[in-house]
Amino acid sequence: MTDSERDSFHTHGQAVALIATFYEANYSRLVGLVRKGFRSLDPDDLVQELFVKVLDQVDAISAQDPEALGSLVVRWTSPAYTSRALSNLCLDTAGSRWSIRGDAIHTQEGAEPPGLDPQIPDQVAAHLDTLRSRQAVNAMLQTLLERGRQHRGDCTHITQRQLDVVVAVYNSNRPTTKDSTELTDHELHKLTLEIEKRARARWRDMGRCSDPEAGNQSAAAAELGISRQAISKALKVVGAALTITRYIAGVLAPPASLLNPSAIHAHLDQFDQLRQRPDGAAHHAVLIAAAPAVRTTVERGTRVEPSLLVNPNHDHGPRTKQVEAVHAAETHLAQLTGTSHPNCVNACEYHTQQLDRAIEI
Amino acid sequence: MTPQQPPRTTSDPDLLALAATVAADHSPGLHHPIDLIVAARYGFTSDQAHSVLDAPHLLSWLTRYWHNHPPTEAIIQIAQPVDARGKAHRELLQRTGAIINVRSRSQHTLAASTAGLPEILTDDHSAEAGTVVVRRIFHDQGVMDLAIESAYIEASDTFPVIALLTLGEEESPVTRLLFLLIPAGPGVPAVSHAESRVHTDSAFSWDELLLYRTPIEASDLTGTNLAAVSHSVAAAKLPWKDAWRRAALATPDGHPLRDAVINGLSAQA
Repeated sequence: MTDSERDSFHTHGQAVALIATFYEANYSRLVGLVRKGFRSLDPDDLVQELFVKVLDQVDAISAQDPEALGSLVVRWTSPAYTSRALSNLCLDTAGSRWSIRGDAIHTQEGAEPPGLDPQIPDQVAAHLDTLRSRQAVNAMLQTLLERGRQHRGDCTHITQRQLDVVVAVYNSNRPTTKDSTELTDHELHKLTLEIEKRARARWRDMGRCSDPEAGNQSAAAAELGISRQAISKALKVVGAALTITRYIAGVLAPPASLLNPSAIHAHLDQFDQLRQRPDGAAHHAVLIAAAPAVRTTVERGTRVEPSLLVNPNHDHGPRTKQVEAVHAAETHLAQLTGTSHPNCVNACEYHTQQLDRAIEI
Repeated sequence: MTPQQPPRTTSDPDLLALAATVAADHSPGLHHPIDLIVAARYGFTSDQAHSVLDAPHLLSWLTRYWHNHPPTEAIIQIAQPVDARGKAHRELLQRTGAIINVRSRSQHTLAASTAGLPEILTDDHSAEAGTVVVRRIFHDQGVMDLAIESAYIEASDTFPVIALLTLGEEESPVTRLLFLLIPAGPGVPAVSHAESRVHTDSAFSWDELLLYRTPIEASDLTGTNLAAVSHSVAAAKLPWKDAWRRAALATPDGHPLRDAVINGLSAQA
């Protein structure tokens, strides 16, 4: 871990988000280790107990000590370290008579694929970047789905159905660049079955009591199939929602906002309400148009790349005027959300605290 | 993020592909126990809270979790405001037994006819929460005794405080009185108890009182709870005034609890 990496842990919230993402990704593996090594113990209970103990450690560290927080995150996102800690917890719980079985965990640990446990600073940094990206996307999806359930209408949102379509399309073997209207009937049928399967699995996860609509949609999908137009629309809507969310709650928000669903909600609320404010509708349209031009570079961090701004109507005048319109809209929104240092398109002196600040995705 | 990292393309297809991968591994929301633990500790979104309230198996999980790991200060703070998220968290706390509703309502007209005898309101939650709240209202004297008994909270080495709050129709809950528990005497089923005497106040006769089952250590009191210390010390009966004094003396010099307790000891209830 580099010094800059350690410094990047600003809050307990970020540390918790990273460790939680690691645990979710490794949950099955950890449960499997307990199941094989300690048959008398409840593997879920043990893995969850270890996670709670880790959170206790995170909470015990002062917010003024980012160095200690960073070290803790590195330690508790290491597969080998967590396996050993889990093994020790199992031994403590089961008693010393199980020590021979406990050794089985260490043996399996040695059999983990090489490269799973990052050792050198660059690997650690890349490993944490991956966790951050996953957590940010997860938080964005959670927020957009919640907004879809609560408000729909004009607010930025997606539906579970649209997300299921995206997952099914990307999980299928067909090239994702292929136009949905070119799908064969057989491909459509396979996508429909995949979408139905996901809806059913979710319904079971939630104790068969979540979103009654899911069951109806699933039945309708099985009966009627998914139309090619619905697939095109789902890909477009989810892509657009993610793009604008990354821009509003990432690029134009304080660091680490994308890791926190409540923060994403707050920024999207302000953005959605722009249209009802005087002059807000114009800013809203400018921000929507600028969102796909967001890029990350070493020099400028993550922000709108002026050369990529597209103006099909040519009614906003030359590019410099268009960039100024984007900057004005970004400034307006930043004032509404109370963000002092958004990554503005101009990287202006007033807004810029760290020129190369890159967001999570 | 390291400055040496090469620029990444972040066009829609990349974002969509990453979203599809993440969502395929794990449905966003409360589908994973790790999500539940994080939310139970640091707060649910409004949508998540309602999902738990609507799903008996999730509510049952949360009840068990908060029984083993009492709600954190973060959860208590989120539950205070009157916004949708705060209300949803209060409901979670109530439905999981972390908050006790003190529901008995004063029958003032009836009690007034029995001069000299107190009207006794008892809320017995000993079965599910190990807590009993007794209010004795002396209508003719204009005073009320409040007693809290707990079968679970050990007060031998620490200074556990539990808070009594009033709940208005459209207002945030307000901490009215704090009870510093001390060990109960022999022959009493309760492990710890506390008693206070206050002037009769309609707020304390309502059926809209909340009691946090989870104690807070006296030295950890903050915000509105800390602001209620002086009044609570003044209202406490003699043995509990002494306990407050000991709690204050156990804190380092300059600790805000000290001033609050001193103010309470020198004030009239």
